[in-house]
Amino acid sequence: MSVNVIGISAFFHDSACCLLQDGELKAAAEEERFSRVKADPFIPKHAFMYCLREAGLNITNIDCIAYYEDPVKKLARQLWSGVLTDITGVEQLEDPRKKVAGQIREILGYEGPIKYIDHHLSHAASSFFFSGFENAAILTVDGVGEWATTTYGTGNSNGIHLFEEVQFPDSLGLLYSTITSYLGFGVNDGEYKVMGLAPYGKPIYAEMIRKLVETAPDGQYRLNMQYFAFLHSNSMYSEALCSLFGKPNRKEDSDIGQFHKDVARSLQVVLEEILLEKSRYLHQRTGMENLCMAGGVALNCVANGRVLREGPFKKLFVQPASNDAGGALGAAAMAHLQLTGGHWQPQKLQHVYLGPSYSSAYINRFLQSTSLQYTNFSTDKGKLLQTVAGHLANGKVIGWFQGHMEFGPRSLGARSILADPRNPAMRDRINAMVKKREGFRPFAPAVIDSMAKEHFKLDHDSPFMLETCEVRSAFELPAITHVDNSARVQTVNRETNRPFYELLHSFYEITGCPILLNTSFNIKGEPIVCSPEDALKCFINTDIDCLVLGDFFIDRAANDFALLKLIIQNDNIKQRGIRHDVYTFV
Amino acid sequence: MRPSESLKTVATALSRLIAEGSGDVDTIHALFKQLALSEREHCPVPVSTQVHAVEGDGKMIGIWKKTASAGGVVYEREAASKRYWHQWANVHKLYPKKDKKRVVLLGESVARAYLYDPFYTVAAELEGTLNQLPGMPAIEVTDLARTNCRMNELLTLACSCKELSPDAVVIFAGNNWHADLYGSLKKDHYQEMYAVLKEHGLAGIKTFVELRFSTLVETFLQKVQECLCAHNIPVVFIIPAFNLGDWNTAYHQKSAPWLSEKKAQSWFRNRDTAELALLNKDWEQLGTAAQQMMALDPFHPYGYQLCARYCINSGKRDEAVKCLEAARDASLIYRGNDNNPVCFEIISQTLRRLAGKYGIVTVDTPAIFDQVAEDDIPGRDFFLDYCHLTIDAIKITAQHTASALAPLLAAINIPVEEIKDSGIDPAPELRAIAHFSAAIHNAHRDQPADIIGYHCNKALSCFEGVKKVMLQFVDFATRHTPTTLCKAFEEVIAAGKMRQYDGGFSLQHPKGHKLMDITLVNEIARALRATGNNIDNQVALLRMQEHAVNNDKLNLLDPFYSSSSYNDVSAENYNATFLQVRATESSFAFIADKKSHLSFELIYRTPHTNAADKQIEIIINGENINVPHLPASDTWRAVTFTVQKELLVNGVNHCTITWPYVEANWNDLNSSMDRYGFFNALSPVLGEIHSFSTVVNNEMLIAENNYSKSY
Repeated sequence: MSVNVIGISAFFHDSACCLLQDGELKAAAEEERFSRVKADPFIPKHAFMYCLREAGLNITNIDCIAYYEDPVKKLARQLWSGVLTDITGVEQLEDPRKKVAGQIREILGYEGPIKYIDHHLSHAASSFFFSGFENAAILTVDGVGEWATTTYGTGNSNGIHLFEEVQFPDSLGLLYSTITSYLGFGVNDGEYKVMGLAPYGKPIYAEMIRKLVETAPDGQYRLNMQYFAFLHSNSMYSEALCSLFGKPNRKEDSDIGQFHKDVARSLQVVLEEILLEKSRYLHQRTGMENLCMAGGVALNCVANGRVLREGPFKKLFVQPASNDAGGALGAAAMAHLQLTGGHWQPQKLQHVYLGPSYSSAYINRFLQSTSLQYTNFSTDKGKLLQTVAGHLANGKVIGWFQGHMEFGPRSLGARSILADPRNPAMRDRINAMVKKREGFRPFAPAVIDSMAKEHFKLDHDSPFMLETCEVRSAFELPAITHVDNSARVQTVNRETNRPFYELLHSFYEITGCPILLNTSFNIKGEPIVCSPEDALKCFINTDIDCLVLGDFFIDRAANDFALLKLIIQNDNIKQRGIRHDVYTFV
Repeated sequence: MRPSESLKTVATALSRLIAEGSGDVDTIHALFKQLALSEREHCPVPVSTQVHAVEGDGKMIGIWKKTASAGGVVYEREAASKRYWHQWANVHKLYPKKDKKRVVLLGESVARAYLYDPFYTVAAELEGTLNQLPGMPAIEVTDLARTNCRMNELLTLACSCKELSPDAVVIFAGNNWHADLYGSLKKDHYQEMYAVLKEHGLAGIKTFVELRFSTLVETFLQKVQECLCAHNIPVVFIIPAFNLGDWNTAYHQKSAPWLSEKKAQSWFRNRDTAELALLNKDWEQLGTAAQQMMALDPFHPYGYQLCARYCINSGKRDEAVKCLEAARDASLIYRGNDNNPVCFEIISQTLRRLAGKYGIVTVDTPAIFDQVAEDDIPGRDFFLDYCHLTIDAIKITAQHTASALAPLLAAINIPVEEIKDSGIDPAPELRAIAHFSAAIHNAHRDQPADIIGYHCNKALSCFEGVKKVMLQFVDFATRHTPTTLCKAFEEVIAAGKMRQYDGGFSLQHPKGHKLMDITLVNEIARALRATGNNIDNQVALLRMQEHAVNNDKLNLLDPFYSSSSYNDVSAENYNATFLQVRATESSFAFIADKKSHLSFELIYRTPHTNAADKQIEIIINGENINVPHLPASDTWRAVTFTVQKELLVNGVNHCTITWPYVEANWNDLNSSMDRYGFFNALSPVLGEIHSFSTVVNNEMLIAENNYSKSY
């Protein structure tokens, strides 16, 4: 009999579910992909059912559900910080595990044991247990879990030991989110934009940022709370922060000036300094060569690149789903260890194609019901690749939908928008007409793994697009090269994503360039597409030239989408997203 | 500033005690005090919803925005609210009043002439009728009706429409007010209702709800008086009627009574007797059994529904009406997923009783239709569904309203008998589309084949050209692909033929809840066949292509196979990943043929009973297949079974799962008495299914083939 453990992260943001069968990761997905609610915080019921279906299991086969944080510890932090503003008497307080367990029982229908794994332990486990390392130092950094906001530890076959933590409200994640909010971007959503904006600025406000956060001995640091208001108001920052910078906060969607770019750069510089300093401390404490990172701050690929290049560790593994979604993986892994009482067999996460896939027959039936003109390449897949590569070489933007959906925030060639990285107009076109997002935001390259070194300063694989490096290609690659000559590279391996690898190869055969611009298949404010239906709707609503759904090719030029676009826009299912002006501590 | 570090241990200790359920109240209070939680500032708790009007600043009337114009103030539909335009009367600009007297019409979908609007409206009919009246000045009717208009919105409109200088206002509403009532109930109210339920049973709940309803309606009337009558603007209120004759509470037939197990068994026995008697036209037997059902559970609609059939067939019309009214009002106390608009008797009564007190004149359409129908009970001739009116009924309503307005507008009395038809004669195509839309609307609300077929036939008899859109509907409804993306749906929208059905967009099946529309499609096919167009093979082929059980597991919990309408009493908790059944039967439909044996996998539980002597049963196409070992189980139980091909039919097959009736356990219901908790108390879950799937059993087929070859 197999041991089947479900991991769940939920009730905050980025809820997700995964399934470990005998310790092997069988399936994982974020709820937002199914519900189409960006960063959906609710219990991941669709993702849960998907995991069961994918593994051919039913509810009676699940041995344990692992939840990614300890609600009791979290309640303590909430009581301490006073965020439970609607609590006026003791009688209103009830066991916080009741709500979590209640949802798991009432919504998922699960009857078995539930294990609560500390938030940062979940993050740590999500990284170490899937790193393939025999042992490693572990650094987790995010906004806040229960009390911890940063933890330091080690992992080996016996498990994980977290030996030090920084506690709320001192938090690098909240520091980043606060400045993100001050710069007019959404908390939990806009941090990535700040990172993308940073290279356009100069770190002239770094000293001011350093006033916000003081480093302390060992792994500690401390926020200067006079600049932060998240403990007692609906704002992340206080008036003192505006006074410090001498400028008011930026309003959302207003112009981005040099000041905003400089603040972003300054923040990024200070964050990198602190992470480097703390990684040196961690190395000194552990003496280990490998570093595992997770937590929302670990999605800062620019900082990750510096930690690896300039820090003391020889190898770095960052959990691709480092945000709270990935906590589900770590919680499940910890629960598996507790249930089996055994040792963890090192396993390296080879890929993140852990979400739903759709058969050619399904897609064929789907397309047959529509008015679309399309070409069926199911009998000649090579021809499909040639056709797509030809269109890419001719400057077309392609919606690429193949195989199992990615788990984590990055599109890695399963649900991607692709284009020719050599085209100087491509970045502006995709930002404006396709993704409908801010013009400064960079795009990432996907490159055939064996040819990566010829074009990027990279001495190892980067399959998850989690670090940046210098571009040093013979090609001009304006669409994927950031203003500081960096790029966030994905190296593509034939074994883990054959269709994408072969497409890159087809493009290479035509152009001599083994690189494609690869960005997530969604538009601003929407989750990445999951199903053929989502992909088609996104395709119709944007300026993508062609859509590839498995073996099927749809060319915008051969179709008139005017009416379908109207119908989709009138679709009475309204997509709602969560957007925070303040970090939600409740 | 950050709270003291030392309080972290206090918070930790307190959270642990809470989690442990510690009875050490003194320590908990002391820790709580230390954290000074009670002394911190708190957000104000929102005040519960009350009936209120928002006095506007004159800039907006509904979706219409004030704009400057050479000819005076004009209100124009605001571009920013374009996505809501379809919910409102199709009027782009509201011009200043000139030489005509102005009547403003407010109300909900019934006031828009739902399924005829925008081509034929109540406002147009009323205007046409008023302008036929002798001695009346020229009159214009300004249409501000809005689908799903709620009380507060109605009041806000009543206040803001004064900007249009109306000479009178007509309000035609009341069907959607149950939403206002239930929206006004907070957790405290449900706890109060729970206490009432324990002490006085369902009778107590009925009294509680009716009292709140009458207060709500009176407050509304009072506000209308303040908004309009007090400003010398007379108001006529049209009390909506309900389709007593033909609206079937079919979905309630499936819901269980609310009784002890012993009494419930008696109720079920009487139900079976009544249903058999109905089939055999044994009216006396039907009457006796139905009355037993009513006596056992006076708040279940089915007994009344059956008794009405007895009364109708025994010439007891008035008693039948009373039974049908009782069946209709059963949903007042919220048993089941009945969200159909309805003007409950308590609303009508309160309007009749109190409107005059506030200077409001009423037009009592239930009484008017009752009189016009003479010996019949107003049904399909008057209504397209539960409350929306046919053209004939709209004309009758307009004539009575015109008679009520005449003295208010021109100080003349004109008896309704003297009022002529408006002369508006909607085109046959418009009538046909309305009836076809009614067929869909009725089907999606679980109405029986008879009424769905009636509207399909009526549509074709009005205008044979409606066939094209019927065929398109059959195509996209039967397909697996979401309706929005289906070619046939796109063609319907492109042709613009279904604009009467909410611009055609009401044809869309909700995302993730697409039905197979089996009854509706069958009735369309039947109606088409009667006109010489046989599409039976086409339907059968498409169903096989899209839905046939094959070598991939077919999820029978998918709404395609587990739901037949959007009035499914079982499906109240859409949030759960599993099906909750609040009836003694669950029904599934699947497409198969007689060539293959099928394997089924079922994961079920009966959450309130574990009694070994209670069994669930599985019935395929009317035959109990006697699957062994299906005991009641309050934990999930997995079972697999095979259905022989001989039991299957080509095309649509039916599977029924029966659940043992279990009396609700009161002790389970005490803790969280919110709306959902209260619903659970009144409609307890009898069965739950976490997964139910079927797949072709190839092994049996291979074994059979080998066996036949060897001989």
